[in-house]
Amino acid sequence: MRKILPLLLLAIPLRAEAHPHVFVDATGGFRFADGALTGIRVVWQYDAFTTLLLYDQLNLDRDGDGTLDEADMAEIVRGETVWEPGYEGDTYLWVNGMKKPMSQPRNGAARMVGDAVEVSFDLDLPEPIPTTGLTASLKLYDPFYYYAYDIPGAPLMLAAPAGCEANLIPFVADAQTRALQDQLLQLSQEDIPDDPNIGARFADEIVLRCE
Amino acid sequence: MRVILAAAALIFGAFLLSRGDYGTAAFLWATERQREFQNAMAGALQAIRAGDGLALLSLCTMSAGYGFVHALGPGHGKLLLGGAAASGLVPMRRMIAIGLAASLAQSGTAILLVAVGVKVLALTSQHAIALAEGALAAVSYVAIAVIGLAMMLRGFRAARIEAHPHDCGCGHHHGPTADEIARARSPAAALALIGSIAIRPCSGALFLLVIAWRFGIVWQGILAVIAMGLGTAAFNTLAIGGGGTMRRLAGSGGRAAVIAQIAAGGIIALLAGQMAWQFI
Repeated sequence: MRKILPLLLLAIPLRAEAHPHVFVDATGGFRFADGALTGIRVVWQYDAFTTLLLYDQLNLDRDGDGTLDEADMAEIVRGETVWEPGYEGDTYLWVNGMKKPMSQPRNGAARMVGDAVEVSFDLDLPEPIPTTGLTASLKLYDPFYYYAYDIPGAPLMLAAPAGCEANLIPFVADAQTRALQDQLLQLSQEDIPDDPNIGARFADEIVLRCE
Repeated sequence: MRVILAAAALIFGAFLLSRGDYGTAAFLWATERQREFQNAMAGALQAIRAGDGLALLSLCTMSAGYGFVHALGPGHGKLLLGGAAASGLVPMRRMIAIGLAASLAQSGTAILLVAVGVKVLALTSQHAIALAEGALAAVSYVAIAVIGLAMMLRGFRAARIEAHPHDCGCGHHHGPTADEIARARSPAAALALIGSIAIRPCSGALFLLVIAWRFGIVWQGILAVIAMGLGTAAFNTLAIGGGGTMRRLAGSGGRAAVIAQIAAGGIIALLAGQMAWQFI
């Protein structure tokens, strides 16, 4: 599925109005070590229809028995976590108001959850960031809104030090929530006064605050 | 007065679908339904592959539902068809037939692209999808914008004739009246409406066909994509009905027809032009 992105990037410049075809139930969260923020963890669960499309796009289930084996899972990990240059994995992290460049995915894994493929991986910060007084914002979205990311569950907190708390701020389409969201956005993303991406408009946000 | 009201309603309707909190809420609702339909389609495809023939019925029903809710998104002709209905360019009953033909032809394009492009010319399905979302979408928006401009021009031409109605009393007919100009009954107009929509297949239909081919259930996939087209047509019929209602609110008569046509053509040209512009 990821292979489609460079093609789409060539084909579609930023579109003011777009519609999603791929639905991703995502989980995001923060990884810590020795009291510092070291990176994030991302889990993508594709909708069942897109999962079937992966059979074609990654040439899965070559024996045609309808179930995916170990080799298929390895192929999914490869297809989903080897990214083209410039592709940020629809994963955007701001720490203390600054957007952070992230590493390529590590610790990739894939499994089936019911009839949906689930992929998970870690992204690292360039260097650990001390958590004292830290605020961070994690958004998972596709700028083209071809992939619709939804974060249904609680944020992950892996080896989090005391005093750090992550909250999910789901996207809700009403003006009051949006005004609140704008305020929260200003807390963590002062450097982006106006985000032009339609994907960001519909994105859930995970906010981390540490004492 | 009624003309102004109808023009305002038309502008409001177009913007409601794309902007603002209500537009956003409607869009998100439709998106959520689309997700449910496409998950159900996946289940039906698996069941058909496993030998459950009856699951074809469920696949077609879910595909039709997908086509209906997905048509709320851009690129399925609701703006052009609704606008054309509002302009009175084509009589209502004919307009509904055109809408049905456009959606079925759009399904046909998807079938052709997968059957020829992917299976004969060995394009990858990613290429086929990128082609649909890229070049073909751009061509479609340009064509729709051109149709909008043509509607406007036709409206202006009719306005000139109305302003100088050849009332010389000399007993012979001096070319078309304003109302005749405003109503295009030619097959060319119908073909232009259908073609501009049909040239761009829906990615959802491509996904479905690619999966069906992969699973060796080709004809079931083709039937389901036709059902998807019928679902899209049902939604577009609502857009056509809405457009037609605005047209009726605007009243009959030459002047109303002329203004409706210029307004609808202008909005279509503007919005489709905006979409086309982003591909440049």
